[in-house]
Amino acid sequence: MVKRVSRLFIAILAAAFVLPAAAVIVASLKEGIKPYVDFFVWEPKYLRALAVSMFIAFLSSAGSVAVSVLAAYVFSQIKFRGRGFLFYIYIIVMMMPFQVTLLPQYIISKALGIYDTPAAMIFPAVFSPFAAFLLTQIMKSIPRDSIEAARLDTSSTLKIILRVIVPQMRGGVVCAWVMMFAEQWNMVAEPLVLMESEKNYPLAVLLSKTGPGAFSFAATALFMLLPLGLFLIFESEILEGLEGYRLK
Amino acid sequence: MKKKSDIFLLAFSLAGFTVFYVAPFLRSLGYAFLDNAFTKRFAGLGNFSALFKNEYFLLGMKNTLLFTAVSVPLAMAFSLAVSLLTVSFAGDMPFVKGAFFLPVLLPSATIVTLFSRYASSLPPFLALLIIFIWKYSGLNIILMMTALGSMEKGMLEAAKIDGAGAIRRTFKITVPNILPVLFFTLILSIVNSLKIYRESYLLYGEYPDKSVYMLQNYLNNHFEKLNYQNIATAAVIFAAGLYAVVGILLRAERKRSEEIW
Repeated sequence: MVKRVSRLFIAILAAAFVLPAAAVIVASLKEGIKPYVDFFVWEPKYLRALAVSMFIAFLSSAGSVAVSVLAAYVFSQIKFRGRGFLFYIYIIVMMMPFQVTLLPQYIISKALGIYDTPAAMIFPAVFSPFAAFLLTQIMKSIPRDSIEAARLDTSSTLKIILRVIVPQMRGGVVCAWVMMFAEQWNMVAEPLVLMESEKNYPLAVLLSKTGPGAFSFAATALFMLLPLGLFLIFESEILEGLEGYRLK
Repeated sequence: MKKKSDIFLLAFSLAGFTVFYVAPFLRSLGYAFLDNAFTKRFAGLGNFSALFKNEYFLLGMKNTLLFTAVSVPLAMAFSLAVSLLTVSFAGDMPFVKGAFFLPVLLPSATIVTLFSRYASSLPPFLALLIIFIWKYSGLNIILMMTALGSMEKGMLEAAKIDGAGAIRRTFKITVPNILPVLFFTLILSIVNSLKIYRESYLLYGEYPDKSVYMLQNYLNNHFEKLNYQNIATAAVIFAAGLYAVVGILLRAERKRSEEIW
């Protein structure tokens, strides 16, 4: 009895978590497929913004995972002086909302000459501490024996990371990549500060300026399609990656 | 056995992290001690004392603190309750974990579009609270469920035989056992609660209701007015607050799990 009731309760709760995504799709179809035709045929600036979003999100999430896997290896496997303090700084910066780092980011993008280009979004994302933090936490749970054993075959640490560690924590790597992707896909304040040419704005920014109506629901539905697709394709990897995070 | 030279693998991350975060942050700190961006005279702590008299800064700080203090414990309690219920009573159910995780990946624009259409009459603070719990609990729930699922059941059985009630068992045995995961989800929850500005901005624009005017609004609006010394000063205060909070959390966690670090 308790089991039945709690199963029902959890099922209803889970449904409530999925409902909004479904509601957006339903609302977008109220006027048939016209808003979708508008999006693809009559509103080229939205299509362009979609392409910009893809460009920024793919490059920054891939770069971030590549850089962070190496960093996570050092943070999780090598003891050195100042490790704790350095990781502490990473965590603090990770916790800062963009508004706190907005002036520094503006200053550096001007100084490097990347202001008003997608690079102004991509570089800070590649080096953002979140992926390094997440991957470090997951990598801590890899058994040391398997790394030590791999040492006997090769002396190249890079090979060990690529052939032993990454395959073992494939779920974790996919999870970090998809989460970074979704985060970049979702940026609104950042492009408004780091870019001024509207032609470079990603779709999230354009959506924030679209009035209510079927078109806005259709554009929103299309906008969530990619993160939703990534989630459906990689669901088992993502869950496995987070489950790999298991500390005593 | 491990090579010390491997430490250089951190170089890529550290170099970019320094160039894009640490160095410009330290550079911007200079503004906190200048009277304004044009004459550039040293102002001592003048900016700080002015800021603590600024009613919008104080309102923003109060609301940010209040939102974090309310939303983070609520989200943690909700996630823990759902995880406990699932692991101890409901058992494994297909799709459930995925369903809870879905909103984590959904763009803010999706939920904001829905909210502005169907729930615009909700008080803003409550609306942001609901969005926060809905959007970010999934991550907590999965991590907690996993930790609970892999816990050893022996101790719980023993306590049950000794006559400890369900609530006592939960707080005396279960919670201490999954403390590292609770710590991890707590940090992530704080990070995410500070990101609620995105939804707030999309729903209410740059000048929202007084109840949800946060420090992030203050910083954003003063950036647009080019008041660099104001936002640099506020950023210093924000960073100092985080430094203290993270320090306390890390110290508490390290005491618990010496073996990890």
